Amino acid sequence: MTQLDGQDAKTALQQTADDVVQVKRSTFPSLFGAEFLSLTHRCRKPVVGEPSQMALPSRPSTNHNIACRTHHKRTATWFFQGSIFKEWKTTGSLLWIHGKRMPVSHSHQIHSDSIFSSQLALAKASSGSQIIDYFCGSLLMPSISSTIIQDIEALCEAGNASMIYFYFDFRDANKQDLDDLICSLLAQLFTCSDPHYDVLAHLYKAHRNGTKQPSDDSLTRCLKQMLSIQGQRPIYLIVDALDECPDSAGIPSPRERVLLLVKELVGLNLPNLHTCVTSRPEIGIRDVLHPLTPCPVSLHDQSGQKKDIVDYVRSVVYSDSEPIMKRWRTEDKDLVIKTLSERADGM
Amino acid sequence: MLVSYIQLANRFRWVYCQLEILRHCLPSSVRGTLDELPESLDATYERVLREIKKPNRDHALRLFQCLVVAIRPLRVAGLAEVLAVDFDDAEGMAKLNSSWRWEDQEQALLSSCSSLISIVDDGDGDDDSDYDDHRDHDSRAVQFSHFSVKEFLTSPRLATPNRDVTYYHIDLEDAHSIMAQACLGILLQSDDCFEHTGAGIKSHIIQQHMSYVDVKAHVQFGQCLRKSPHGPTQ
Repeated sequence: MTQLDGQDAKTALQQTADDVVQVKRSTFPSLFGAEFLSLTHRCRKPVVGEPSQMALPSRPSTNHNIACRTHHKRTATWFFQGSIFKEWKTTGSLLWIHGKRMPVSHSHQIHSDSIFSSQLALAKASSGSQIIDYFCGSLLMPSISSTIIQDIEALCEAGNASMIYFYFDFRDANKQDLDDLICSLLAQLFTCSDPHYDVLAHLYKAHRNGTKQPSDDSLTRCLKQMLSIQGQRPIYLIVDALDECPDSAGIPSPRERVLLLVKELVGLNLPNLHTCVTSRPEIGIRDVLHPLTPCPVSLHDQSGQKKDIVDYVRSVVYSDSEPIMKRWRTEDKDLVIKTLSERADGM
Repeated sequence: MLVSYIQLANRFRWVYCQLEILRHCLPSSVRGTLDELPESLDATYERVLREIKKPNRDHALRLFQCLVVAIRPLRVAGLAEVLAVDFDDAEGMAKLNSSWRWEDQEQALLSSCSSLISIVDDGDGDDDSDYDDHRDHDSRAVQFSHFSVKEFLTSPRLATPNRDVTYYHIDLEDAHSIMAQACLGILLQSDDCFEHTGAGIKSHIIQQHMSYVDVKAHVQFGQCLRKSPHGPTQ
């Protein structure tokens, strides 16, 4: 391994070491930043001397849009026809959608073969710089919660509910920590009503009009206050891909702190709060969420997955926009559908 | 049979990868190709790695390393700069070598392993008007084409000796070191190096892609990994 060395490098690093506080302030999301200003304009009751510099919440919608783009409509139909989802929507409970930890697979050594090589070369040549992105992005978890989100959005548009959501994303440093989560949720919540706004305005004033960063504790209190406001519409809180919240640095780790928050929120027993968490069932997550969830949804409880794959392959193979596949014989198309779905099923 | 979300997602990904191959098959070769499909997602990715031409290996590895440890979304312009950094400079310091730059930055990134990474336009670029010239670049983020790619590249499965693709196994400590050096190499570069690419580009790159903040973060991550009993270098 090569080492960092050279006097210049050391000097430069020393400079940066002196700036840690500054660094934290400038690169990590804070409640009091530019974007909040624009959000406050959406608030019904602008307040004189209001939070003018508040919030740089993570943008959950960035991920939501990306997930929607790669979303295959049929992927999760089997889930949403199920009764568990309906029950969660009508009762105030925690819905934990989880998978099973992926086993270490013992792949077979595959010998390079010329057919594959030439096909791959073709694939590369034709894709060029146009990246084929359909249906290969974050596949299932986001598509599940994206479907939930679309479903709940319909309720919200009808004026019957509010929805707040957050995606953890290992690719985005602003979507990995407890304060990212809470700031984002607060930013989504405070426009719900005047009392919601007042809670935030109070927090703002209590922190020297936004010049002092609120602690995680005060952010958490603020969130709980907003969620507990009496007489509000049902709130659907969706926390997606919790396992992408890092479990590494810090005691407690970011993930442990998020889990603690989920536990506390569920512990409030708010009848109007419907919380949904999706994740892999890492041990730390399972230990906290399993006792809280009357009916955790695991994929192996569901049927229809194979049909989803068959439908997906069929939709591609029989697509009018596939210039070469269009020329295949029908029996070859059906063989591809059969082979791919069976082989996938055996994986 | 018990199936998890991740497994199901990986099944879909496997099917997707196979369809990517099959969709280019002429009617005569469909059946032959079907007989030769890789059995698993790992095997699929291993094939892709084996397809990388030998002269492109370092290039591809560096790209993977950066994507694995990046602390913020990597933009096309910034990552392309990293690929122009010479890590074997005579003075022992990583240095930006402007003659290594590619004219087409996207091509620079996609040339060696186009199916494992993707460039997405998230429309989330910097709105600062000073950087108008480069705004097209700003919204293009580089990422792995699927979360399973990162999982595969960092997994112990790939580190198993005697596999011909072990070269691509990503050691996190090494990767953070490479990123720290690359950021530093670019930051400490004299402005002459940037004269051909426009006056604003250095400040743009620093704003958008790498700063001392990133250097520090990567050095710290590297140190944490070294200290951690669970780290990869235990």
